Amino acid sequence: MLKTAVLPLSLKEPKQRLYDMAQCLKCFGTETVYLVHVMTDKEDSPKQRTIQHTIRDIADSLRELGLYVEMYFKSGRIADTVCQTAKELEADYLSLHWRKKNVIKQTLLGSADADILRMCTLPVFIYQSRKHLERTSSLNRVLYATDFQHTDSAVMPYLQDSDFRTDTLYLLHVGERAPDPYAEEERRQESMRNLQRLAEECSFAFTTVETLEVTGSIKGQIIRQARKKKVDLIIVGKSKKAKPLEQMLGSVAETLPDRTRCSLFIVTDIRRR
Amino acid sequence: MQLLKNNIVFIIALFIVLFFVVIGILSPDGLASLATYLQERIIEMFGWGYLLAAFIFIVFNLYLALSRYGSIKLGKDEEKPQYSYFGWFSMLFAAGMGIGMIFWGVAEPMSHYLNPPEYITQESGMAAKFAMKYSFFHWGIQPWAIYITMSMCIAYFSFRRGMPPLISSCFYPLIGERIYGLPGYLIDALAVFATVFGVVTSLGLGAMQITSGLSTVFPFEPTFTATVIIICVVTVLFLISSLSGLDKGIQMLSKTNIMLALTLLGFMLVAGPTTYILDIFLNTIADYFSSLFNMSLSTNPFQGYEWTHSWTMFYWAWWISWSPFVGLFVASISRGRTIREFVSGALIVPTLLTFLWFSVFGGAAFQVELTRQADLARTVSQDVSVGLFELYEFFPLSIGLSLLTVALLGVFFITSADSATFVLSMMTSRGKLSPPAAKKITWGLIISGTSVILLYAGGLEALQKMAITAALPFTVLMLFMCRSLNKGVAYEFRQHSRNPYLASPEERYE
Repeated sequence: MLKTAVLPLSLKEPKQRLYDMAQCLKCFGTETVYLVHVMTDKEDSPKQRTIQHTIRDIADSLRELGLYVEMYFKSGRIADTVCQTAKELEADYLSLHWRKKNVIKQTLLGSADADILRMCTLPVFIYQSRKHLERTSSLNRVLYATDFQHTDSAVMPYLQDSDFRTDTLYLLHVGERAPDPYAEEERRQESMRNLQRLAEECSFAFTTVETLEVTGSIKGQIIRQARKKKVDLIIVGKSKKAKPLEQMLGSVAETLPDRTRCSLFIVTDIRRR
Repeated sequence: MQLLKNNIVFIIALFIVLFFVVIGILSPDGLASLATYLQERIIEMFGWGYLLAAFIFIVFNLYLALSRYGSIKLGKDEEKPQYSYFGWFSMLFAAGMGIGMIFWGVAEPMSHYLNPPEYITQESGMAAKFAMKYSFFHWGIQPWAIYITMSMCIAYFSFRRGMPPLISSCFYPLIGERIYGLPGYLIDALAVFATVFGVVTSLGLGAMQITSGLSTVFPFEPTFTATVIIICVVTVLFLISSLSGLDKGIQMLSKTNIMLALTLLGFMLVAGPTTYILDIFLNTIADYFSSLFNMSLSTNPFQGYEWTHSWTMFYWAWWISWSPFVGLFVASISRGRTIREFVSGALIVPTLLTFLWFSVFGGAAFQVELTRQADLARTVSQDVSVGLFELYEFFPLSIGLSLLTVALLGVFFITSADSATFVLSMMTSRGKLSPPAAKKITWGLIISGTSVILLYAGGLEALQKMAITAALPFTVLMLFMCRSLNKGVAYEFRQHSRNPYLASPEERYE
């Protein structure tokens, strides 16, 4: 399911990080990587020639990992072009090397990564390097934060995919506390039943599947539980049916990359479009 | 240990109350300066917050009433309202502001007329217009919005969600099981603290006013002994009413109240300058609604700043500090009504009656002041309690009217003290709707005893200011209560519109 990836390059990414990211991509069973660079200068400018040379070097180093690599040099607005290219190449997902920006920088200058994440309908893998990941180059602990909505139908096939090689899966549901203790108990039991059902559906793909049911802020709890369980990858679904406030401030999936140090796999439920 | 746990709020509250009462007895001046300092500083720093919060409560109430949540019942779906509309409105009015209106119906328009903000000329037509508009404003929609917010939260979480009728219950969606721990105890103890101090001062000051009212009719001096006798009589009566239960006692008294009040209102409207009063009523309603938004959020930093502090912000703090008591009481009588019915009923009917009351008594006072050179405004500025009785001097049957007013005051007092005793006992009995008689008697005696002692030693007004300081934490708590209630009602609809996808996993990948 995740055989081909589009990897947009701005060339601000450290080479070693790109290499580590490519190793991670292999955990998903990825075989083909399309490197896409969106140019802002003229094609034959000396600067562009240097960039093309650098990207060729990167491609070579990725090929050494056993990946099939193609390069594409495009021009235009970064987010639009990347999304369009991924669509044209019929890629399975996008892989981003996320560069965190502080609030002021992001507000004033914007972020191409954030724009890509917002606009892309393909699943997006956001790589954030962590020391222990670099050592093992594998994803041992994965956390899927579910809201029991339609996004489950978009995410579950990936968790059931045999190419998705990880040991432990944490299924997390962050619920909103019910108005009274009796209703809260009922809500909790129902959430546990739903989590259990999801766990059963993907248990064959993992050594261990653990369910977690908590209440509180969705964003805060995802980050807290990920830190507590020392997970390598957080998986979240992204619905296009956002609330008005989310449309202004960004959905949980869109704001998580700046808040967590874990890598993320964000799957958009395109049926909602 | 269980006994201690069951009575922990009672013990904490009793300790706090006695602590301040002892300070009030030993050093009334010390308590007065501390209370004045606290109150002034709070209003100086957070007065804008009171205005904003009161406005938010109006918006929140309207939002709930007009949205789909309006159809949610403050009780189980099959429940019917326990009281008739007349009984409900009577009790709403009696608990909410009945007694205050008797005094301020004449006194407040006259006070604003004589002492408006500095940018309005004293005793001018503009001052009269301003006085009526702001009397409406201070007793209009905002106070009821504050009460409704508090009582709707309590009623929803108690009667619909089956939790004890306590203020702490309203916080379950936000803090969960911690409502049964220290945070919950502190919230309830704070509510008891504000209620006891509010009722003690009302009883003490009110008894003084009844005494002065009676002294205008009967030939006796309004001495301390006379006031103590009145407090004792009121105490015996409200304890009898309280022990007879909410259904019988308070409802009967409240209905008597409203009948007496309507009789007085009707007489004054007919015997007074009817056309003039109706002109004032209509004109002030137009003024009020056309500038409601402006008045609601005007802190007046450039002109009229001091006036806004000493009137509007003081009032808002006072209503908020009263809200735990009124909120709990109003919640207990509103079981079985829908949110829409509750908000519209409690917001419109008492407000209109209040407007009519102020128009009749304020209008009559203006007519007397402007056409008969009565000098009512100056009399009121010296002693607020005599304003109404002075006004009666210009009307036929003035002795009868004074006696009727004293009777009305007495019954309002008994109703307030009765409902306060009930609410205090309920709050300190883990929300039991039928609190033990011993607790009712205990709180009744504490309230009356404290009033008498502080009347003797001084420090009654200091205690009132201490009660108002509780408005600050309560404003914050009430904003959280709005959030909590919104979560609660939203949960109900989330449950109703559950994603069918969850019920059938087979459909998931279709």
